[in-house]
Amino acid sequence: SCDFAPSGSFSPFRRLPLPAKRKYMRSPLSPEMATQEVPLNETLAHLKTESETLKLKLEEERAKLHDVELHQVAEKVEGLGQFVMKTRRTLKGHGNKVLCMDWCKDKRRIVSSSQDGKVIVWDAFTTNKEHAVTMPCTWVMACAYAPSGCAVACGGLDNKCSVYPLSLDKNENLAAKKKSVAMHTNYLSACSFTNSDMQILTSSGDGTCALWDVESGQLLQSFHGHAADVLCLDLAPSETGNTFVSGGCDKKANVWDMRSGQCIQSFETHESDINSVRYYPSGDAFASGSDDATCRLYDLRADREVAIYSKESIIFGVSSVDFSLSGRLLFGGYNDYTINVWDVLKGTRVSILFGHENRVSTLRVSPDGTAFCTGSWDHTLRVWILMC
Amino acid sequence: TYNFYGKIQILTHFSVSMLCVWRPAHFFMLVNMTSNSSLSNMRRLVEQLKLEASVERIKISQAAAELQQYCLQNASKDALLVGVPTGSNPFREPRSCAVV
Repeated sequence: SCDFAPSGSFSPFRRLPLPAKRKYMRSPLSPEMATQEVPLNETLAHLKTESETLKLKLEEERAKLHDVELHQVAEKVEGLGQFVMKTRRTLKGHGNKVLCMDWCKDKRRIVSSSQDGKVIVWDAFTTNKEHAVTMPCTWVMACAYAPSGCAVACGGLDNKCSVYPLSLDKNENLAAKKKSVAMHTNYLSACSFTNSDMQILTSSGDGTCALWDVESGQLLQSFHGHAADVLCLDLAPSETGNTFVSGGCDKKANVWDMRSGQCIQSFETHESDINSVRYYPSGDAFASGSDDATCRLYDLRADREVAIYSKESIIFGVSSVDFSLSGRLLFGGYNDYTINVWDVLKGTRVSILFGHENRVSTLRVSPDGTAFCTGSWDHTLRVWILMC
Repeated sequence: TYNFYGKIQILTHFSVSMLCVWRPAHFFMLVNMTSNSSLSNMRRLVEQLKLEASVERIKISQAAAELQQYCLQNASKDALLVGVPTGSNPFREPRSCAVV
């Protein structure tokens, strides 16, 4: 593993659960050879050549398996008809750009965060605000609901991720119970609880991702490999083991082993920053959305990009993506204020949705797939459903 | 004496800032500050590429077939794809009015 990955000598780590068997991994790397007394220039040049050779080999290996396109396989699948999706709830209350949102597992509550530092918890059925807290910083770019529904995490320009336990008493001052968990050296771009309230995964403008213990604030694992700001992350569905994917300003999407801190797969086909990554519901693939105005699908077992969702008429960046429950639909929130709905298998657009009055900055499908919510720079959130 | 006290302050400040710097998340940056940084970066890159090259892969035809199968198997439960029986989607109802 990396020579700077935190080891047991630093401080005792809480044991992470053993990862599920990664069926596509072979035996681990051989240990690094001891440094020899060789002139610096020669070793560097040799390594450069070796890295070029390996990159070519990687491309060759991937190309060998490129026997067909996804949309060709899907030719025999019945096409999707007309899609009419409408806004059924509009959540108004933020005084500035909405930057992030997340659903509670109860499928009705939503947490959202905005540029002015406000974090609001809503009951999306009634559109009532249940909690509100003002962060000490502006641009709260990340927020997440805890699996138990009893806490929310958020952060942004303060370089931290803080956890606020949600009180049943609406009059209680949430800020008083705030717990600082993560500490980065640049802005917090995304955060997510793992499958419990006890651990949080974060990504940051400092180019790293990190796994933290909520109770102690201890760093459990850090993930190094991106060459620029990391903008987004998504955890694999729990059945598929302990991995997560991250996307960054280096145009790369990296898949990580949470236990070892190792980057196990890396994809670099986007032409600009990757703003959003989301796993396909089966865990065998993930989608990404980028400033290059495309969404892409990467299959983890084929180890390559298998679809691009784009149109010549779409020239604005994608800020966020999410799948419908079956994985057939991919929703993309765009900087041109629209939402494009894509047929994942056929690669075609099935619908374009209007409504927001500024760029769509965040988009999540509800836990049971009955609706999806979008947040926008127009200060509002909208909950959309299929009309039929 | 004043000078002695001043040195203690400087030492304390230095050790505190070193403690902050030596957190694992900052190790990456510290390593890059050394003179052999480009060499160790290249070594790291080569090891990473070797790892990625060793991944076992399947053909796209097989991967695509499995993605498709998952979609079709779960299509009937996907409320944004096929809709659900009227009454079972709580968002379909207009928002309930709060009694003032």
